[in-house]
Amino acid sequence: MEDEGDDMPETSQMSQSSKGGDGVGTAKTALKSSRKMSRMVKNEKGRAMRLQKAAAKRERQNARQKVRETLGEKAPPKEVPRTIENTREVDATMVEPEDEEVMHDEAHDEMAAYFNRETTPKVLITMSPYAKVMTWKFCYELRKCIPNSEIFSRKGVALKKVVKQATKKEYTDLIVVHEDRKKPNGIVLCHLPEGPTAYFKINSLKFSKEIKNVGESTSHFPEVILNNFNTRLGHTVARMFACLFPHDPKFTGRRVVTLHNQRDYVFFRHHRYEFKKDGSKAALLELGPRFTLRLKWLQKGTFDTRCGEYEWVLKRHEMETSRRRFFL
Amino acid sequence: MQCDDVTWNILNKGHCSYKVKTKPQNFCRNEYNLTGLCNRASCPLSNSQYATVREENGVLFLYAKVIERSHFPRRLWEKTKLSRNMTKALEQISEQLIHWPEYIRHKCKARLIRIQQYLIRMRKMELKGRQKRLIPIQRKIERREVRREEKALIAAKLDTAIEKELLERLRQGTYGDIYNFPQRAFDRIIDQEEQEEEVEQEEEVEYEREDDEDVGRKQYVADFEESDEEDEAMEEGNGVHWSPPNTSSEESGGDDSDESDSDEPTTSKAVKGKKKDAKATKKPKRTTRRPRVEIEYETEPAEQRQRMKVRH
Repeated sequence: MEDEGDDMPETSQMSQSSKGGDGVGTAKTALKSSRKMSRMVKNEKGRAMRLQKAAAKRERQNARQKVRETLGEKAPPKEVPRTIENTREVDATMVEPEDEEVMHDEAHDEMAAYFNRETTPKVLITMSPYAKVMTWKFCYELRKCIPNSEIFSRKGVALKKVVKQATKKEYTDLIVVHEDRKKPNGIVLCHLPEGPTAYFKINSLKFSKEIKNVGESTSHFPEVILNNFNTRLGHTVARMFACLFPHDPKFTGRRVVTLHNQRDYVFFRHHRYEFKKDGSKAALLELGPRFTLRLKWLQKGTFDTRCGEYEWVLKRHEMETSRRRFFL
Repeated sequence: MQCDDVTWNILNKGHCSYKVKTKPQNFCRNEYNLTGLCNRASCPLSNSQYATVREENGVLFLYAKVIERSHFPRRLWEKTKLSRNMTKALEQISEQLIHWPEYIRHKCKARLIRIQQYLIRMRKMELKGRQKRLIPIQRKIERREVRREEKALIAAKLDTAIEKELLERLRQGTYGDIYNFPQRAFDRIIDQEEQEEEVEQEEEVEYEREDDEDVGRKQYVADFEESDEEDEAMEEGNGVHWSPPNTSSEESGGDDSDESDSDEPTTSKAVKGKKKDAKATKKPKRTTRRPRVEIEYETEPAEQRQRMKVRH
């Protein structure tokens, strides 16, 4: 790797010098070649230095390892590297695991009906009016992934009307895929009987066909994994996601849908798993789309951008000032 | 009185401040111009007999130039209000501009129609609701987000996180009887010898459900990096994984359920205690107990039932 890196500047430099050096006097070529030589020497020196540094680091690591082994229990504790998650700004809304207030709130919020098993999810997927191929593809993938979902092509119907009609037909959730420049770029997730509405921006999207070694999805109800949703806001969002999937996952289908939150980016993955080595390892086969979402705003009540009550809005200038501050 | 030709010559060849020169057209910025182009016939300054149709706040007027008043510029143009009805307005124009040159009459009517059309469209748009708002893409923000997403992806270590979670659930026994691992069998036997409790199916089911709740509880024990929230909610969601008799299991299942709850009975206890609000009906269990579910698999039902009996 280092060789390639070093070669590039050399070759470009050589080509430059050769271009210039042809019709010019010998003095110039001599100068250029001497510069070339010094540059090559510098590159080699640089490489040597880097190798030295790496060797020194290896030595230190080995020494520490040995100390740890010999001392065993009494060894100085392993140093914990500083990560962004470690140094995250303290958020007042972080949920403790046994927060009664939170549990009480959650037992009475809009999605409690799902969690008390009063309703089964029925999802309506729709899109911007006159959507293009990519958006349709994405909607098909979502339909495959989320059981009990249907696609509805919106031909200019206003979104509020869609919401009303969907509630009448007893859908529990509405997903609107928003499109821009012929590509899906946002998702409005609305929990229907007057549930909260969230708008996510799709940061990256990969269809199943583009993933290497992709598998075929089945129609078993998937398990859901929701990782790292720590704050109150995160809890609401996670519950909204959970409402999309039916209650009883068929474990025999071994399908798992993961929504993992890391630094406010929610990664969606869809796998089939298999336990290997007597249950000490799990192998994952990726199915289905792979996309990242970022929450832009969360609104109480159904979709009403003009006069709705926003619970949370990402205001860039106020909120994105610190690199250690996350909201989900 | 007015020498139109001379005026036109001067304006055309010389300088006209209303003229806008573009390739290939010349436009006239004069507000009384009928067509908007800079022509001999369209120039309001160099035609003594001239008329236009203009609208103000949605009301249409016919402006006719009365050349006798050319030295009173303020009174030069005579204004007549046109009716809202288009056909009537057209008739009014014909009437007012009777005996006027064809060109002006025709162009006035055309302009009237055009104005009417755009007024209608404006009204429709007002009623229709908000137009799409164009939000500009901020390149710096986009680049920053892409970069941060990459870093977050690396930090997330998705595959390992998912594997860990699944293995946790396996350990906790959420999958119950499906997986039959020899190592677990060993554990099972040990546990079995330790406790002998009659477990009814309900309890087992409850146990499983409660186990699910446990799964979320990981935050208590596991490392800080990955705290699985969504515990009660989600676990309740994924609650009962068994409607006992029916699951068509392709796997000829393990006879016994997987392994007892394991390493975290104590911690889970405290946690579960709280959890029980929602499920008050469930019996308070919580000791190392092994779930035993009687499931009749299609493959070898008799055998299993037999084994179950033996255990009891």
